[in-house]
Amino acid sequence: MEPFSIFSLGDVLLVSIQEEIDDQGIERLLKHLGQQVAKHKARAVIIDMHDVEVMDTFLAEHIEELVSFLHMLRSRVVVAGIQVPVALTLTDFNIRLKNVEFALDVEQALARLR
Amino acid sequence: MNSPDATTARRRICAAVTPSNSLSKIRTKARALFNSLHIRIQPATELLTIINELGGNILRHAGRGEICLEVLTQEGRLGFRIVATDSGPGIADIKKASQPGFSEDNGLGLGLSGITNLSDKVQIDNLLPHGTRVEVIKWLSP
Repeated sequence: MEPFSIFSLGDVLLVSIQEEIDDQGIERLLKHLGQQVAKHKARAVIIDMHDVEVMDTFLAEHIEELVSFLHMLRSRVVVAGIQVPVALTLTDFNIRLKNVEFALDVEQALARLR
Repeated sequence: MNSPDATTARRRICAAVTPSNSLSKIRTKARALFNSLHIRIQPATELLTIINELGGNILRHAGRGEICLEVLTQEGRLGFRIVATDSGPGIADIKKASQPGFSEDNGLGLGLSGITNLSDKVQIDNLLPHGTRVEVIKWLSP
């Protein structure tokens, strides 16, 4: 099973990421997502991080990669569901996810994209 | 190993970090240990992030290695020693590697400095003939 899933919600794609995702997994995700964005003419992508309990600099780097890739495809990106302990640890690690829009959860992300 | 921080080790777990099992083995074992000790979610997340970071370094730079996690107690305080070892190429400049923004592979370069922010002691040694050993000690606040 892939460490990610992609759902289509009309012209918005929802990507759910599992924390087990590694360098190879992210490469596969970029490829799939690129195809899906083109297929659905997606104007926005929500990256749901709710299932991620641990986010290290490797995963943060992957998320930045993913966001910049989607921006190149002219998709708006909202990262949703980052848990409080994860956010606190990211701050300790001095990790700033730049140029990223955040939402508390998928519902809030969808409301913002309406 | 004896060091000034060494105290009574109550429990120690180790797991191999390999491209096939990635970090899942050590993560599962560490989670079970934290649950059994009723470690709160914030310090548990910090410890798991340190383990992930060290494991990620092993996978990227050495391919495989091992991570051990040891429970420490000192004057009623609980702490953990995390030791990551591999037989990869080692770190050319340990001092530089600990500074924020340094990365040998154009990554974010915040790993080791982040670990330092989250812990009480970080010691990096190059092993002979090759390899790296990173020891991290983190004490939990009461």
